[in-house]
Amino acid sequence: MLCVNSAQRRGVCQEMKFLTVRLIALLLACALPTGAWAVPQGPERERDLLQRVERAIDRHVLPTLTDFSKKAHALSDSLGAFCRVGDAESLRAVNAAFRATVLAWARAEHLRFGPLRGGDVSMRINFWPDPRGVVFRQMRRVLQAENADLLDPAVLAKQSVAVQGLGSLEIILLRWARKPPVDQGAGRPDYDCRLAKAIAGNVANVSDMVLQSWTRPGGWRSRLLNPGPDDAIYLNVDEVAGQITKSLLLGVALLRDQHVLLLFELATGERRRIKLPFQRSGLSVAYIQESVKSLKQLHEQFRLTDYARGEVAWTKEWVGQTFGTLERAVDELELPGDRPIAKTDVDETTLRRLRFYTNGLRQVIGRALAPAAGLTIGFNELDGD
Amino acid sequence: MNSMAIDRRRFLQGSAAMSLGPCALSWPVRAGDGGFAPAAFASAVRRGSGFALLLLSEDGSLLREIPLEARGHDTTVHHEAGIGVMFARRPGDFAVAFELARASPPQVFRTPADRHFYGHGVFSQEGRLLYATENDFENARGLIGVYDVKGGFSRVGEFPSGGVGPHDLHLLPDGRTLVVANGGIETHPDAGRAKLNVPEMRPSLAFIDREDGRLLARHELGWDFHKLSIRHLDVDHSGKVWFGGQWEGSLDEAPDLLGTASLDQPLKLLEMQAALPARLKGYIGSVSLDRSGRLLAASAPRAGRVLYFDTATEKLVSQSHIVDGCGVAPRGVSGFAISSGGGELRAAAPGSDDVGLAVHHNTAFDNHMISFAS
Repeated sequence: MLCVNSAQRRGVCQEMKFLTVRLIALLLACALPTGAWAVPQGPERERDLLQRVERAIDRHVLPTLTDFSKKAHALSDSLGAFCRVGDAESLRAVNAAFRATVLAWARAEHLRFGPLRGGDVSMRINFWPDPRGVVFRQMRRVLQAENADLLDPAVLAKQSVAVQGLGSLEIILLRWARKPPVDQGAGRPDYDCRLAKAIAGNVANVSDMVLQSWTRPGGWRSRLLNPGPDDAIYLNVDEVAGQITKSLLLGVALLRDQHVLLLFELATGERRRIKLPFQRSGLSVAYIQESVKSLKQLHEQFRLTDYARGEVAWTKEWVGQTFGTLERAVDELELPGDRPIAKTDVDETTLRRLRFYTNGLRQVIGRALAPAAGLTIGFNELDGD
Repeated sequence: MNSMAIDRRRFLQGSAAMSLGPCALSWPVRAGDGGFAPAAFASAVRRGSGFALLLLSEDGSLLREIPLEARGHDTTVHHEAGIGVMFARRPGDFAVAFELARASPPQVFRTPADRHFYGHGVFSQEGRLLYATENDFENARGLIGVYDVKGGFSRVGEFPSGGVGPHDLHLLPDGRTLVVANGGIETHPDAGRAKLNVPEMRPSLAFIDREDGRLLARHELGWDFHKLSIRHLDVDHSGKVWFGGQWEGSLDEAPDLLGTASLDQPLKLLEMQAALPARLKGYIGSVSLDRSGRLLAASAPRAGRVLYFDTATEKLVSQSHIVDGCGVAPRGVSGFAISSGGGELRAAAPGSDDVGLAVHHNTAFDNHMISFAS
């Protein structure tokens, strides 16, 4: 472990060393026979877990998706206004609505189950990761061709997912940032504007579909709260509680793999170039901040830590503290929006902490807290191949 | 262009990788007279916070442990040559070659920088060449990398796998035809393990002449099934291919997850009860035929089950329940060994109760286990 020479950083390093010891102890504790993790069985535990699932859905999942849908509609409305009026003020409103929608998606991205399982729908909202620049290439072709059919959100919805979502819209907004299309005259919106409106309309439609899939009678909320032999996917409470746990773990994995590790490898020189979502719009740090806040909120509503005792009792406080630590560490990041991120933009010590705590969270939640609650998050089932 | 001939640039890259690559340590656990007790099974594992390859006896006890730099996936062996190779899980770029009966230091070799392994490989019949599924990630192109075994596993060629995201591959009994499960899922190391093309994925089963890289046949299931990623294979004595897949769409729409094909026969799915694919969470982790070829075992770790199919009738005949059970390998004439993410190793045979063989604490067996008996 790298320790550097300032009092504050020495403190951080000591904390990391201490936690490393605790994590190793945790791993050794996990080697104990399953009986060592025994939790109260029976209806009481099932009721408790189901209440936690209900709380997670009603106080995190649905508010998060509702907020995303509202933001997506506001973005669509703002583009409608801008395309009609075409002035600087309405363009500012579009940019503000875009930022709000992107950050609302950052808060929802980990909810990849139910209607968001499988990647189709989430990619329609935002085609990411995009390591080969597919969105840029396809949008360049679309903008050159000016195909009028794509201006209908219903038609757009049947096109490549790479041109349907927030990443595609970002490309148009960045064009506008370079050359503001203002004062072109009301009532004569150009192709870019109408396409932007269609993309925003598509994202709003998708957000409605996702929300309705959750809330309609017999929808995902109902299915998760009524597991049993009649449901093809969720047989019992353990499976639905496992689903929420996996969503939390997935969120931490996305945070680590698509943000923290890339920045860390840039800081250590392992990578020369990285791409973060919405970096060119200057939203990289805000995106990570919102992701962390949202995962913290899910943890606070689900609170598997209530089951921590015995060998893993220390994790009860540790998880909440770690989310706080992550929030503070992310606040220290300052990333440019107007140029590629360079090694000199990132602090290795901060990123080492972020990497350490995101790894630790995954281990503690998956290998200590879930078993403490009697849930099995299998090594092979979590991320099969 | 196919490059079956030795490519000097790649040869040099491979040699450089060999010379720079570290030799893994090998920890013999139980040495016999100048060697090891014969291993029956091998599997990649997570051990504590690290990763290793374990060689196990017939009763599941540990014979040898080879630490790995990162998570491994599947292993292939060549019995006559007495060697095995374990491949890194995607997007890993390392493989570890080891001798089955001697404690010589394992040898680490790597893909070129613009490729990575997909976790599976197979030896040619005579053991001179090794074929591995790989990703040409900048071009989103599946490849079969060719390695010269006696040349220190230097990379001597490559040819297209016939699709995107190749995963498992096997050699047909003719010794010449490779069958490759092109899972259809595009990935890129810059994006970790994220799936980049689910809406447009097109999995296939490709049959390839290993001597010239020629595509002999390419079978697909059609657009209705385009989200069924074909991933794991076994081949029976007649050359019939049995495959297992993972469904990337809505679980409520999950189709049958297992199927068959051959060089001249299209893909056919094995009929399951209507609700079963969703119950299995749309995911088969491993498939294996027993030694008689009469039974197919297919693990579904997300549902904690292993299904057994009669290969003559293609009907489900029995199942085992094992939490996070994924590795399946033939054991005895008509039975299987099953390994789990909880470190458990079991003997199972349809019609009789499973028998616990061993529990390895602080150990999570990875997706695949292989049997060493030829």
